[in-house]
Amino acid sequence: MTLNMKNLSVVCIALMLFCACGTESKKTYLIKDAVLTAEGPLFDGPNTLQTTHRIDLSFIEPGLSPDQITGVKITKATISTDDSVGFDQIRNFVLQLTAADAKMEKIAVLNPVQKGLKTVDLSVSSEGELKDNFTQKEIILILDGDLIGDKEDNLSYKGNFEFEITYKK
Amino acid sequence: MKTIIISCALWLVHMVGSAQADQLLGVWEPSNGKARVKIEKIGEKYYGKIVWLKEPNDPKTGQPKLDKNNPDASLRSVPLKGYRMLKDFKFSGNNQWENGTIYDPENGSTYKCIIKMTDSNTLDIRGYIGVEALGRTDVWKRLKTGK
Repeated sequence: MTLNMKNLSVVCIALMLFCACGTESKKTYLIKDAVLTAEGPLFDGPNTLQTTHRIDLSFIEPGLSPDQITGVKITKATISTDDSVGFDQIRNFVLQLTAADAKMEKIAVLNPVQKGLKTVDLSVSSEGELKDNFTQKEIILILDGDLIGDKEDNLSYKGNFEFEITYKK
Repeated sequence: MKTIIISCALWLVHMVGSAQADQLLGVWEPSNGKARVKIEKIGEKYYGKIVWLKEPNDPKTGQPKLDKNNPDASLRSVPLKGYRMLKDFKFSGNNQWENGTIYDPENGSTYKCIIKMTDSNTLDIRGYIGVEALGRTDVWKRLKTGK
């Protein structure tokens, strides 16, 4: 009888812990048509294009709070341009993400950039954990474009990004 | 009237603090002379990226050097030229920037780091593991004046 009570207690504690943890869900968070810009004049070598994005967790689920987020990974990063020369002036791209109270994380790279393309998919990091960034009010996306030669004008590209957000219900 | 004076005083303090913090901006050279690092401000934090390498190409391949020692295998094609080796520094007053990290591309390790400006053209860059006492300081010199 004593043993049964002990077993029952263990089962109850395990059940309580399971309920407290809640179930986890995964959803995709999209950043569409973000305009990343660097002000000219720009010089040969890596130049920084950036944009700020306000995090809206209601996009994932209404009422979702930052402390419910348990993990964030990047799953897709696409850069496009309407410029007639495409990306012919760019050797490579490196994408990073940061926020006021979170570390900068390198999240995607494309090296080299193929000539003649107007849309490119970057190779995304399989390890970068972005939870700390997504629990902030806004994030800064930083795209380093390694420019071939100098450029007088501004440089501007469009970015579409997909993140997989894991959260507790 | 009192509110306006207080607001002006706070604005002045903010501007002076911001100017002191931005003294870090510019191009700097580590003591080994192998690279030059440009420190920029993104948001309210400071970052340093490699803008020049004494030996830009890998002697084995003849191609630009890559971050081949990065622990994240998916990022080993990132070129070293343009690499942000100093990250996330915040100005803490007294010519010091803290809470940042420094990356050593020669072994793929990241260390905690504190930057101290000893004069307007000299930085003490201290990288460490765990506690500050267990670290190494390198002296960097400014290459250009201004931002």
